[in-house]
Amino acid sequence: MAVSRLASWAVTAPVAAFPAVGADAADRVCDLATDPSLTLARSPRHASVLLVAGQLRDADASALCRLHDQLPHPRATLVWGGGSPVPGSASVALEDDPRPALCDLARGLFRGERDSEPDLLANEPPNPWRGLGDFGQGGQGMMGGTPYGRMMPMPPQADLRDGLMLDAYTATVGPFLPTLPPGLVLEVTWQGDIIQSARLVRVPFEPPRDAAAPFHRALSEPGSISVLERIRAANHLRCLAHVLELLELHRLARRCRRTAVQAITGETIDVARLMRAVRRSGALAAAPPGLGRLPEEVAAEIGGVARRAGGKPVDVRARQREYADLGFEPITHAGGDVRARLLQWMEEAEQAVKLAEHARLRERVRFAHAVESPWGPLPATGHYEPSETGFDFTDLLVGCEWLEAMLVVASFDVAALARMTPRSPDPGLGEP
Amino acid sequence: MTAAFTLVGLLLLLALGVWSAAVCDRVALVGAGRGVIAHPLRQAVLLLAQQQNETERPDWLNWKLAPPLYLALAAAGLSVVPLAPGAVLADVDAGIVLWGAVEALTVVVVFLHGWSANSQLALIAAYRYVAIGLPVMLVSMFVLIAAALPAESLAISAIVESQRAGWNILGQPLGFVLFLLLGLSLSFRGPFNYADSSDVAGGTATEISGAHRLTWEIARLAILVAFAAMAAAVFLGGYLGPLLPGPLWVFLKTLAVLALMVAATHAFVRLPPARMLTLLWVAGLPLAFVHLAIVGLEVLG
Repeated sequence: MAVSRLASWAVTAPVAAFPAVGADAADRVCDLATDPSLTLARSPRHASVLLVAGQLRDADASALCRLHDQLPHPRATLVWGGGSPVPGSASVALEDDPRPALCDLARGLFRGERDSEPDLLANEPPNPWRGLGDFGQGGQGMMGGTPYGRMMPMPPQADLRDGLMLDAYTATVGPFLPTLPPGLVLEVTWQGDIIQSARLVRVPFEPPRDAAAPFHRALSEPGSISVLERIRAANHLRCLAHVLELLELHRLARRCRRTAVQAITGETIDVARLMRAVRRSGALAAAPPGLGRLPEEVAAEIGGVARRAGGKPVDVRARQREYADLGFEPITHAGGDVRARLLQWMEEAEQAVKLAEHARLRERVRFAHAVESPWGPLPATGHYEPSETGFDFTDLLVGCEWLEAMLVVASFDVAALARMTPRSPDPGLGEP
Repeated sequence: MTAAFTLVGLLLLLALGVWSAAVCDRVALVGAGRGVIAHPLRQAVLLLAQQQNETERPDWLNWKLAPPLYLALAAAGLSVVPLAPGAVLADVDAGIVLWGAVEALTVVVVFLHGWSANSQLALIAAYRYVAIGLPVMLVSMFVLIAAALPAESLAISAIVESQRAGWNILGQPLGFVLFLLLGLSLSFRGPFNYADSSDVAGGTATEISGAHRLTWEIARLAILVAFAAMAAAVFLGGYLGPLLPGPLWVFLKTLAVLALMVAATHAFVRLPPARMLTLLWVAGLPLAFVHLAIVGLEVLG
């Protein structure tokens, strides 16, 4: 009783929500993280509300059910656009602000006005437990059988880096792991913390349509350079914020996200100062030289930030008179690795804000044949197809420690990742 | 009677320190808004009202024992810090050694917490915490021995008394900076957060909720307070200071170190484990050894 009374008093604390991000919702969820009345939890165990944002794929439904059941009681689900297999969940439209509904749900739960949602799945292991002892020991076979969750403790190959011979362990990560782009599912085999192999199971969701729409329109009608460049700056800042989160620079990540929101709303922002703070933090030193280096022919086909970070000044904007009048010149960096891509994002964000300020709302541009979006040249079909090179970005993860692997993935935008995939990662599973 | 007062004083220091550190963390992250003072208490109440999660076949004993053991280690570390002349709970001749044991056992407890959850990301976090924790511990031992040399004693009280002529931070600024690394590592914060970080979805804490998580988070802050009090005693003269009573000086100096630690948490990047290991073994340890050699020569001279 005393705890429930105290809980009623405590519900004004920030709501802890775990976001399960679907199509077209990544930017919106990123912007939510700037609100101090909300905490986006890193683990479902740390949340009271499951926020299902955007449209999910059918293939993600079972993962969502497992995710739901990991939230501790009392728990609730808020569907923000799209649908959800959780019965009795509250919902708001994707265009609406979900924060009032999130607060109401959390308060209702802790004040006892709303029942906690029951499990969606039976609480039993997905595979039978074959070990005899409590910890998997015993059983049949040379190594005590194959109890659930354990491999034969003989590594298939020597550790790729430090020579240690540890048990290999295979697990599937995604599609809701916050460190990965929304929708991306990988099957990873580790030895210790070193990745032995990685396989793409499901591709990430494509860039949000509302952010890409002005760039599509600029092919058919003149669009405001200021608006386009502010969207570009916001995208780069959000990407950078994700990398900074991985590097435990939460305060700087928050500043990046706040600045991204301000860029979209057209406020005056000082990106140069923010970038100086990022440099001072040592963020660039975190990526070892050569980490995640992209082969030149792959970068050439991916285009955009990945290509310019490989030293090639290729940018559709350079061919546009309107941009030339503003003094635009493509920024490039040598290396083609994680560090170069981070630098590229930082400097292009700064450049985009300057261009937006110089152009104001008067300067408009219409692209002739192709448009340079924040995710590189927009595809004519509207969807990002795997590149002709057949390059698989998971090859870059082999031999990396977990954090390094996450840095490699985070240093690409979702469009680049979608292009660096095998033709058919897991047939039928990637369809939205 | 003195022991009872010391116990009450240390408990007060622990409670106020934990609360101050939680408030400082919140301010550093989102700024000083309305309700920031009560924020830690509200969070604690909500965690108490939450269910404690289970995983599939965890090592229950170690998983549940790790948070209280971590808290107990913080208390043990704090027990050797004197609040005033003669006011120390565990006035052992080898206080530095006891503190060293706290450091070593912290590594064990954090590893057990990650390992026993039977969860992949928690296990990765546990392994790499051990890898980083070991060299940091060695650095801190060199630094503490250097701080003990002028006192010619391993007792913390003697080290505080040896600073009447001048605080150790003035004579050994490098030692103080190196010692701060230990505080970040013991409580796995910012540049040394290899145990409970974002890239592993909360690491050793990724599977915990409710009272289990509350105890773990309090223990993390408690070990930070114990470290700050130890740094205040060894480098900032502990209870020594004009006008104010000794315990108040300890509290103020502990708060100052806490604020410094919170600032460092948000200011510097966390390197990938391999880069940090290289940095610690190639630069940190030799630097600590050279520091010890210089202090030793000064004392001999």
